[in-house]
Amino acid sequence: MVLILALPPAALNGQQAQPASSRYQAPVLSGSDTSKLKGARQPIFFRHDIHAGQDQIPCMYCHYSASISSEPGIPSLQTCIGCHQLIGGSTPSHQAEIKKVRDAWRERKPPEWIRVHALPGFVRFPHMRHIKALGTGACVTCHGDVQKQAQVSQVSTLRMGWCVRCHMAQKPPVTRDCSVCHY
Amino acid sequence: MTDSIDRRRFLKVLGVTGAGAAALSSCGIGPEPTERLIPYLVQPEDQIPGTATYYATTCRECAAGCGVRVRVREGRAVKLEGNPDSPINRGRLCARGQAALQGLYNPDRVTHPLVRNANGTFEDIDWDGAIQRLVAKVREAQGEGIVFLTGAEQSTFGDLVNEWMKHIGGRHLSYEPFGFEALRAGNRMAFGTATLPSFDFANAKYLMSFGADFLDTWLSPVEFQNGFSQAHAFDGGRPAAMAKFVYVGPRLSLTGMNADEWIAARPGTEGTLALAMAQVIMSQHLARVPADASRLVSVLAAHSPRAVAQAIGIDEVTIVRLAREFARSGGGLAVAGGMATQGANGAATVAAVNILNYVVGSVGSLVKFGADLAIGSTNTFAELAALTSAMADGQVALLLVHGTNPAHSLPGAFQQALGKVAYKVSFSSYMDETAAACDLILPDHHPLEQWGDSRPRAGVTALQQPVVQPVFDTRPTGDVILA
Repeated sequence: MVLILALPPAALNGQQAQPASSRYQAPVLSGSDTSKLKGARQPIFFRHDIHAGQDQIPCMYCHYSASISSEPGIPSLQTCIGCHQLIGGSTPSHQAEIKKVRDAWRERKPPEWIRVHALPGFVRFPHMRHIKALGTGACVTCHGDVQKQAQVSQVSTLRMGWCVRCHMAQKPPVTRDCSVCHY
Repeated sequence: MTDSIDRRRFLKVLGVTGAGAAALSSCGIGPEPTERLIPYLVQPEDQIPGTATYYATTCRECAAGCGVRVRVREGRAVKLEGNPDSPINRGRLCARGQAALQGLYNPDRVTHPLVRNANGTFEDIDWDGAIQRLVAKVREAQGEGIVFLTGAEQSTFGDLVNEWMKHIGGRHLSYEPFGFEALRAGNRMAFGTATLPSFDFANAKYLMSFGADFLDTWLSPVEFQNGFSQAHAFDGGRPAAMAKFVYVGPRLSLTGMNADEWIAARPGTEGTLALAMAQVIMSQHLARVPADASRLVSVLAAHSPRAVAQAIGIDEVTIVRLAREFARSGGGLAVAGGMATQGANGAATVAAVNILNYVVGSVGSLVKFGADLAIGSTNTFAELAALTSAMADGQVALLLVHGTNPAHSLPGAFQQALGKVAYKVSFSSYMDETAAACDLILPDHHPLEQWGDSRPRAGVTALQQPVVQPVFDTRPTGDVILA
């Protein structure tokens, strides 16, 4: 009973909620395919397209602090193990990557992820305010269609003009006051 | 360092790499390729990434015992602020307290136990081995003279050291470079008690400082700054607020610069000025003088302003004016310290200022004895000198030092005597002069890493809790003693 409660809600009732045909199917990737992917190669080949796309785990399941803190938070290894002590992977390549998670847990050494999205130190981006205004599905606005990315890369420039354009496009427009972000 | 890089070549290399780094980092907002995100293994339940947690604890940078709130981000202490609920500092914190973080993350801390080997150099030792060695040395030295030297410790840790020393037949001495000995000696001369009183700056109506830099560092600076700003404010919520502040001293210190009037009495004559003022107040009946003050008349007779004006270097009119102002304010507070108490007549100066407070009736109202300030609990310099000669005579077989650096702040004789002590143990966090001369170093936790308490003055007990996981492989000295 406890284990079922610990599983993400979408993984439990996702199948009833949507017809199987409309579900995104993450592609099967070979070693040569993955070398062509955009973005930094992470120490564990974590596939957002399988977790968030195919399995429809909400972003907020792992990045839960995005709605309550300025930082979205990289999930602790405990969050990964919560599912992956049962889920071992269906293909040899998946199994190899999940083994890395289990080994890291056993050795008490969290993986050192390579940062993809970064802002300079003089800019503040409080995640919780943006989630509050735009909703928990609004991650795609800045991060792109992560649900379909096998390897996450930066899709927006994250430059000031790009930020301000979106602030102006809102109805009513969001402030352009310097000190809103530079404080 | 032997294959020489001369200055010119060094600057050339620095210039090239500096420009290279600048060019790389300025070419866009994109992430640096090496930036890593390391997640928690298990996230603590009370931690939200990006949101700070605050812990209340006690500042141990000096013996004043101010309450602090520490801002902690993802397990790292990042900022200290005063705790508004603390009766000592009421939400404020001095620069020294703010700098506690510099001590916590100081890369020069002793990161693990060290022991001196046969070659005379330090080598690493694990905690079990270090404690075994300490136990063996304590057994060996029992009956041969054991001394535990600490800083000002009015705390459970101090009690523990006391108990332990009693148990194994040793002595516990405490030492602070700023032990305010003249103050204690002067209080003994005037009132027969060698303790430090509390000073109520907030309710004073006229302040005179005879060299005491109470706004810089003197007894409990944050408390006094608070009190002074209340007494000296334009509207302290009281009629006729804004107490006048007169600074007496040869040098215009930071405290002196905040004064309304600076009296540059000749160095060493500050006490004479205080007595001359007391003489004017007594002879002209300017204040309701306590009944038994009549005993002072004969003492003060020789200190009429006319007689001493030349010696002080201040004219008679000014002395009389100061005395009138001080007495008629109805709340005169005089304090002595700093440079005025450094000379040979330091204690006499303090006693003279005590008399000045006494004749206007401030003792008991603005100056309250019985406060038992922690900083006043240390052993005197004479006792430390006795320890030094005992060490030199080989009467000390084991010396344990915690929270003080006597080899630096005591005269050189101490360092020489240190060589005569058979075995020396330091609990210092730093390789200071004393630790460097010791045989075994068992580094203590930083105060922000450990449990503890402090009794800064009578009636105030400040608790101390760890705010971060220990940065290095150190152990709290209390636990080491108990182990």
